Amino acid sequence: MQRIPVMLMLSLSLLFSVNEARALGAEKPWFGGLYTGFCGFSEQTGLPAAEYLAAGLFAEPLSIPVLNPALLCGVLIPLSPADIDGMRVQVAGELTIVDLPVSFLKNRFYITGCWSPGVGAQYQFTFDRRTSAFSVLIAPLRFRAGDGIFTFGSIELFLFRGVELQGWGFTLFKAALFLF
Amino acid sequence: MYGKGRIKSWAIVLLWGIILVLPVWNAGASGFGLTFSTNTFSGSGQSEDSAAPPGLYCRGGLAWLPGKHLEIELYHIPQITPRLYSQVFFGCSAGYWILERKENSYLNAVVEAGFLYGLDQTKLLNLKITPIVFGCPAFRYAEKFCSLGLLFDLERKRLFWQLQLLAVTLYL
Repeated sequence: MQRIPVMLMLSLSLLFSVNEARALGAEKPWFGGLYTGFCGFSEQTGLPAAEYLAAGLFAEPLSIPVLNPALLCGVLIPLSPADIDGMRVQVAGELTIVDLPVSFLKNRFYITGCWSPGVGAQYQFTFDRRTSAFSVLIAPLRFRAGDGIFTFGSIELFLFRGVELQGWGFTLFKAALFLF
Repeated sequence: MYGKGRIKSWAIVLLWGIILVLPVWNAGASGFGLTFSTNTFSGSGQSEDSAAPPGLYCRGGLAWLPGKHLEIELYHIPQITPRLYSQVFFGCSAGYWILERKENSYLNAVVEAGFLYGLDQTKLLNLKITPIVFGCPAFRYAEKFCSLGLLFDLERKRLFWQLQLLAVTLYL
């Protein structure tokens, strides 16, 4: 019976000793997280015809409203048909051009979203480094909502020697979820 | 004046125009919706001359939900890569929502049977199960996760799989 007041005091002291919770404002509390998406590449790129799964980690260290940079690093896995030997590493840099609140989606989704078009550059290579490719990313249908960034229908333009268009890639859907 | 290819191109542009523009239409909640989803075809021996050659596909269409359980869908599944629209399937399906759709019901599951017709005259029968559905017309929004389908190619007498990891329906 003597333990009950002690436990109560201890619980209350723990409850009141924690820091006040920070309200979520314009400054986001996250640094980075996990991304995953589905993509494919035109035959001119020389990549095997397949549906690819892209997955990896990303970091968005700043929280600026214009030209906000992010870094992505992950793998591209040919999913269908499955081909482990066709796996590639991808390293990309992305810039969110601007974050604009989209009011017309307010009555459809329970969280307020922002239209966040992005551009970027990507370098991808096989594990044995025998083949590599450089591409420019254009993501006009990119939305930031809650703790994620959702991209629909982004285009990759593959450049040969940095200038000549070699082929294109298409990302059907990509979700980047902030975790840390 | 215009070739068949040009008419097909304009029809596809018009179809995608409707699919992309209508979600922002804010009429009262109805049983009509526009669906978009990922679409993965998978099966042994998937090659260039199979019903669904390897590549990236997507799925877009129109859904109608009459009554408390039924779902009728018209959709098309174009191949995006390696060659845009080198294969296209047009399909229709009838689905049954396992739990009754109510104003406050949020979780459900769906079983569907359908038919797909490819532009190369491929005919496919489709059986599909969706174990997780969040939302319904009352929420004007539904998400289907991990739909797994079995397809039967009537010409080649072959079975293969279809996976739709994520499907989003925006109800008008």
